[in-house]
Amino acid sequence: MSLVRLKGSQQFRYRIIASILSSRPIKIAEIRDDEEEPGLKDFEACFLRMVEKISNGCAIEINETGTQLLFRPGILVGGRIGEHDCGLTRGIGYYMEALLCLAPFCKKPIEVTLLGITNSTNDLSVDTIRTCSIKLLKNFGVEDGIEFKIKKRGAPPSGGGEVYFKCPIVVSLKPIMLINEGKIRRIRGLAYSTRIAPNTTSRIVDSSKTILNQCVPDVFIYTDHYKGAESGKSPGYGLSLLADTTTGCMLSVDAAGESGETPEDLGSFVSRLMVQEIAKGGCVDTAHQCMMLLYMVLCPEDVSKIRFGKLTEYSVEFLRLLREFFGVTFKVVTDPETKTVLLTCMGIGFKNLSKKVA
Amino acid sequence: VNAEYGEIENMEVGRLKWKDSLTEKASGLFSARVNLMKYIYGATKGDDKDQTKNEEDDDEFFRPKGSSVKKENADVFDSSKCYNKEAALSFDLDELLSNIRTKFFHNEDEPQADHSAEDAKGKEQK
Repeated sequence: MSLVRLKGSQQFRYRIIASILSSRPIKIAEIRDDEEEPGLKDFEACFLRMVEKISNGCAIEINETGTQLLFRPGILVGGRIGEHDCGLTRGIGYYMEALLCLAPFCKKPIEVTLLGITNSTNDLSVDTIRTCSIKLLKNFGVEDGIEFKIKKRGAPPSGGGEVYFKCPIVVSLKPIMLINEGKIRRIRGLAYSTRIAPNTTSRIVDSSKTILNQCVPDVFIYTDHYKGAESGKSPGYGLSLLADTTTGCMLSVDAAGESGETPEDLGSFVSRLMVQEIAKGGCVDTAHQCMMLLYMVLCPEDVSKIRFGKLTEYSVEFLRLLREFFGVTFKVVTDPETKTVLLTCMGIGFKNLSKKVA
Repeated sequence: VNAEYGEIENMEVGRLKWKDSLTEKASGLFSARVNLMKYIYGATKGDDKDQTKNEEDDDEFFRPKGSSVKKENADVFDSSKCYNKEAALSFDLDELLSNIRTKFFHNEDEPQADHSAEDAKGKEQK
């Protein structure tokens, strides 16, 4: 298949994912060539190592300065790949997001243990992945046997977290029709803390509830204090929230406490994010837009339709990427009444030929 | 919404004629702003432009860096979470909450639809 030439480091993960799923080699040039530290970062190299582990026959060529990458995709094999150390620059969510996009299309069900930072503000927290991301895949028919366990927490900077992920494989996906967002019925959440005073979680919950209870009466935030071996190497705390709607849609937000941020600050910050997310509307929150778009493209040759609250800049760039790799152009229509965006596309009929049909 | 557009349009004070076509103008502005297809995929394919650029490049050995086709945001931070912390901490919570009251489900909504609006208002006052 023809080589796709790209520039810059943006959407690095999704470019590699698209390359694998469309089996088209890519060449990325000018990766951070203007910056003080040019070239690929350690987390991108780590991501490529993970891709190598789950696939067979992929070739990666990087030039001396790391500003150019040639990637020839192999076959996704999956299976038991043991442990993968995600490093300490990015959270486990950075890698999990990509795994969620690739795992169902492997030869064998993937089983992996990821080590690193479980909660950070830059990447999806493992709680959001467990409560929201994995559930979203059900819409496409990926559900039986999907497992995600948080074994150890790991806060930045030293990490030490551990999660286990197992994902079934599918022959083909089911097209989706997610256009009725419904009304927010309840909000659930989880506040966690590690190696810090146990009352931190209740302080987060209190400040969060003062905001959220103004919206819905049904708010419940679980608290989880980790001790000993389960608590990782650094002290930290975080909050993730999930809003359920009457039609079964989910909106999630999360963040981890940063230095200088009190538990109360974090609680109100995440709650305000939740309110913003609800105000945007849509059937999926902003962080999961790309994953949904990719799955829609891979659906059988049928129409899939979804309602987003507000199209993020990241998703806009991703839509261009999808057109380049798969030749799929979405129909994007704004709904002025609700200020939401309706996206429609025709799937390419992606099939995982390695799964035997029983 | 009308009030917002009004403020922009009302720079020439004294005339009330502007009010006549206000809704049309507003809808015009809105539809012009939200042509997302054009924004995402561009009006025409960019391929033609790139080809002509390459031809020009052959003549010039040295070209300034600015003329490179690399986009400004080509090295933008790779994260699907796009939280704007400043915006999240600075917006007016009460105002936003009052605007999105209808997005929440109340138990009273279901049985008698007529009373639901009143109930919701009653709650706000408390």
